[in-house]
Amino acid sequence: MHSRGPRKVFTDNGHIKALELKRCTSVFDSDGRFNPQYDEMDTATLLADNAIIAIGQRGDLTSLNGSDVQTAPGGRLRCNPKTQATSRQGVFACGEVLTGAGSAVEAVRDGHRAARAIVHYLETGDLIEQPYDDPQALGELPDETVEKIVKRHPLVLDLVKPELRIKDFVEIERGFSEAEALNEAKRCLACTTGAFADEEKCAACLTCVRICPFGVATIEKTAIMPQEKCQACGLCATQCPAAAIALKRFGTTQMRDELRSAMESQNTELMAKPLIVSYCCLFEVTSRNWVSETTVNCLESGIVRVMIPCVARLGVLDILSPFEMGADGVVIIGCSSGDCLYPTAEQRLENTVREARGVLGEIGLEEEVIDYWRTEGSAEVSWSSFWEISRRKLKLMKDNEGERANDSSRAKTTV
Amino acid sequence: MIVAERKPLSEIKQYVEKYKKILIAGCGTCTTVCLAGGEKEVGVVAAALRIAFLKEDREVEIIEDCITRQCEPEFVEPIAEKVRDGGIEAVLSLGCGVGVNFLSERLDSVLVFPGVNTKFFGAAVEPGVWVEMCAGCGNCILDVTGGICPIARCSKSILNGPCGGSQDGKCEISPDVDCGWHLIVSRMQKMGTLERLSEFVPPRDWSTSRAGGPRRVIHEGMRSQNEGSEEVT
Repeated sequence: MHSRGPRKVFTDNGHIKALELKRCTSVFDSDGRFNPQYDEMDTATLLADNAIIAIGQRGDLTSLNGSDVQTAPGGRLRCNPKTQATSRQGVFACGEVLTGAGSAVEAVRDGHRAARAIVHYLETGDLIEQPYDDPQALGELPDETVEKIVKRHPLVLDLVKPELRIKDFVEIERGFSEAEALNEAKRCLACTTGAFADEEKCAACLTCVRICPFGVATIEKTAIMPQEKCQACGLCATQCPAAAIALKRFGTTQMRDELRSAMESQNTELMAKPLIVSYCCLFEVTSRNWVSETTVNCLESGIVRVMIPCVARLGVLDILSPFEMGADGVVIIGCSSGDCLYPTAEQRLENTVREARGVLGEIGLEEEVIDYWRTEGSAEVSWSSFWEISRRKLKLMKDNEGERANDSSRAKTTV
Repeated sequence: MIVAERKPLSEIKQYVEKYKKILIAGCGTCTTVCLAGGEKEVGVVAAALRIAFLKEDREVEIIEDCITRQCEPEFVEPIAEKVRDGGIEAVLSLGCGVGVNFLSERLDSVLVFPGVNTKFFGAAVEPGVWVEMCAGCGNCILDVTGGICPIARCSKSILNGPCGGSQDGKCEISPDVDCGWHLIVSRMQKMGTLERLSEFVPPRDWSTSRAGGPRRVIHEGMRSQNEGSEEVT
């Protein structure tokens, strides 16, 4: 019911029968505050057998009746906004009783401020003035960086046609499906989650500058990746020879930590062999349920999966580490060919895979124990078949290796 | 910068395979920059060795470390102490040859093996490609040769080139190698200083180079601050 507010609930024998509504004449006052006004004479009635109260734009201050906490217009408390102290000593306020209608984020912020004010008051008996910090704005995303970002356009959802929507209360915007929502999330610019270098370790080798696909990294004595520009692809962190670069939400050891925890969460002794570690591109999954379902099958399939946002973040060491932990093979599954969010990332990953295979070759191991697949369609469509192909190949290799070992021990016995 | 290249892992494995506790020491300066021996490469070599030993069912403890520079006592001493106190049986240095020498001098009873081949003093001409540009001969004549070193960049290190092996600007040893003297003459022509090459230059004294034996440089100002420094005769 548009432009109406609740006025009265009609009940009969303790059961709700109807709701009386009054017409709303204005929503905001002259200061722009949410302050709805109603025409009490213009009413309408809605029959109902249940009412869910999902409204509330101001605090319920009835509990303060008779106390010396003074109230202010608009359902607020009389408060010093700097100290958040009310008119009664030792009582502090936060949230909408302090500010009037505002955002939940602001209410949380003021909750933290109030907590600090209370601690200070309890410890010293004094009030503390806490200035509001001006939030630091990120710089502009420069055009030369914008040009390098793969453009992904928002999905526009069709609304229910007006002639249909007037007939019922069904949502006119259907919202995203899970797959669509995950796809939309890929459009995120990853602000402030980008790379930063440890000045102590950085050797100013320029590797990050040379490989950054967005031209973001620079050297000023040590590496600098301005937060307003960095797209958090992680390629510099992967390639940094000094292990000096981390992402805000992806530390230098996170890949190995996740691998270790994935391995430790399984009883690898009991798992089917060949034991395979599969690094998979998180961006290609279109259903979270599918991820948890396939995790359950770990014991039977022999596949320990490590999901990462872009497998190009894998370094040579990350590809080798599973073998240290007893894996028989590593299966890397990246996004569909040409579909990566980050320019040059696929090429970098190919080089890394080649290098890792080379290392295995140098120590006398088969290079084919590392597979690199590109998603076809989606994770749900293609990954299981990739795992199966790699699993069969590795099984064959393991069986042949076993036979060779038997042959040589038989030969020794014969001698 | 000193440019190095990691040795083949099969060779590295042969050096260290008879030991039970090994330290792999990276260097955070030159070999990090030329992608041969920094912290990441230490991790890769360590992982490769662990995998190799695992396949052979052998238990070998591999410890990883990477210090700022392997050519300074202040940086090297803590790692040497770690080796001595930690019962480490062998060290694999991913620093340049200087690092291997410097570590060896500080470790009386522990062998230090080279994990990289130290190649030359060079520059990164493009990402991932380093080229030799200085031979460290100890008596720089770049003022005479237009800033291009004939000793490092001429295959024969001749001082009166080019020789007959210069073909279309390339050296006869390989079409990938520029003729150093072709570079020198072209540059001096461009700068209008070619005449300098016709000036008489007496035979070069090579004693400042390797011919004079191991060399040392002394910075008196710095040295005098350290009381009790060894007198050099």
